[in-house]
Amino acid sequence: MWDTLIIAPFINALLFIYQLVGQNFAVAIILFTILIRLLTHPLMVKQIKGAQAMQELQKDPRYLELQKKYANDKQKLQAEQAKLIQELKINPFSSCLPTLIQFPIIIGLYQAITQTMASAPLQMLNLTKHIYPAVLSAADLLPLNSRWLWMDLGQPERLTIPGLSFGIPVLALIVMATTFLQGKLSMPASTTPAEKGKPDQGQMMTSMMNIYMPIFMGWLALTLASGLAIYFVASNLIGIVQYAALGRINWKNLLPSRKSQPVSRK
Amino acid sequence: MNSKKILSLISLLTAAVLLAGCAAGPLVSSWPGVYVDENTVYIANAGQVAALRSADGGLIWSYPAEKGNRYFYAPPAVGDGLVVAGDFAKTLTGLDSANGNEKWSFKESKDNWIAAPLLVGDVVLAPSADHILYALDRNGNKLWTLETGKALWSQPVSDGETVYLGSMDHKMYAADLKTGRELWSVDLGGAVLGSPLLVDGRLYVGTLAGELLALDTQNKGAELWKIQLDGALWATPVIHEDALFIGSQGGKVYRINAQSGAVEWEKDAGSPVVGIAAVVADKVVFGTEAGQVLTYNFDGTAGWTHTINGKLYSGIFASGDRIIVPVMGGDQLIQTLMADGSASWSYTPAK
Repeated sequence: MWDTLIIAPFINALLFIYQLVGQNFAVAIILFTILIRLLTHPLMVKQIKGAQAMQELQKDPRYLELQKKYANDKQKLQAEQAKLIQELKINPFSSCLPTLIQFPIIIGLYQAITQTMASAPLQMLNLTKHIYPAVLSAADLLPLNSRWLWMDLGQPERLTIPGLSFGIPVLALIVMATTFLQGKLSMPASTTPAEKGKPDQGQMMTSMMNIYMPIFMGWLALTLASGLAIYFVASNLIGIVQYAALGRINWKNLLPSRKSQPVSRK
Repeated sequence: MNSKKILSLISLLTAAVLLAGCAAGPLVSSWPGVYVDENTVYIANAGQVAALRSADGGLIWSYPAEKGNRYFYAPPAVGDGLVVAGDFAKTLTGLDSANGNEKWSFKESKDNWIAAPLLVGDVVLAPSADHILYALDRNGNKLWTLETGKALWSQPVSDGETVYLGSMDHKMYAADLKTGRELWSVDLGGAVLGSPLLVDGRLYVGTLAGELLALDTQNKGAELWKIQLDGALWATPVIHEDALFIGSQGGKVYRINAQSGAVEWEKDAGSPVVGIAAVVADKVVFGTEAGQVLTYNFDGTAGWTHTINGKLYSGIFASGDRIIVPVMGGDQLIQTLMADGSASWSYTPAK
């Protein structure tokens, strides 16, 4: 069912775009990523608004009052908090449900790109089974043009420079940079009020993520096919644009002299 | 940082690793590659190349001694004491056919080895997925190269003077065996997945477009005939007395007149037929994706059927009095049958 509902449609959409753009697979990956992100943009908006509403709630005087009043009675506290949430018409799932819905879409996109590159006979055989014959001709499209600029999209990317005995992983470096950039620019506001004299733990966790994720994504880009690395770069850059369109970007976070600031609402 | 946050961070990173692992799927995988002669079965699968006695399946040798990160799926080429095997780590290796000892390795390819090499006299012709046909001597030294437009998944054929090579760029190439100079090329209209068949100056070749073509090698590859079959053609056709036999991804098996290209009979195999057929005694034998070994008499009447757990993508081979059936995803890697369809030895590599 996963193949029928997600993978096959994604593969066919990707190949359709590939055919439209003159059989350039890198451009097809980028455009397909943009398309999927646009389609899931309403979910992303919902998620951000839901998260924002929950953050606002935690600063609400009534919420803080409840925490003081029922500090020793967790059950009562939860019940009263639930009443307040209902009264304020906040949906507590609105910040995580969109993420859960987007998760399989992101995995499907990732798998569709991987399967479309079909670098061995078994993968090619499976790919042909996913193609809708009424829409696309496997014989005309396959195998894909896997070369773009200096890259073979089915292989990990390395830029070979005469005189150097090793290739430079340019794309992996770009992946790391854009992942870092996206994390830094869209750093969320603290979800819990900082206690006097103690560091904001939420901010600390976010800062750690901004270090670990670029390293991890860079490692993936180093070892996986460069077509996937292109998807990572495109996804990061589109994410930045989406956040900027929603007013969730703080460019000042890039300045080295300033500590990272929470995103200001517009 | 409290334990809750640490746990969340670890969970997130673990999920990211699993996402990468699960979403990417296996990086290297295909069906077994096989070469068979009168006494020995050579099989390339996953981490090793093995030589087995065709009489009883006993292991003669396997290479490498310790499994590492090399994956072998290209059918080996064997001749005059030399076994040549390519892997998905871009390395082509020459082995002693008697004991599997490594004699040389060639590492200039920029992509995986998927097609079988061909030994022609003292020349090793090795088509790579990096679009290049490499010609090496028997010590692994490069003699010449021929570059095509796309990956090479098809074993070349040769008459001793000319090399004929099908490419995924939809073309059939002819090149001089001594120098590699391209003599001609023709566009076939579809990617060439399987090796062509060379008989009496004619090339018979199937394509991803589902077409089977006959080309005249004496007239620069001019098309003699072309027919459309049901589904992509992955395998080399086999010939018996002017009749070609081939299966298709559409689940059909065919007998075709080699001179005219007329379909003499067509049968429903029930599932895709990807591998090469074998002519055994008075029958032609096909393997299907559903694990069925189907036999037909030359007149098209059905013979015996044998079902094996697994997918039969590699094709069917004959060695001595046995039918060799490589299996993907089954209980055993090789199942052998006798000419009457009864089971003989099977082979499963040690884990």
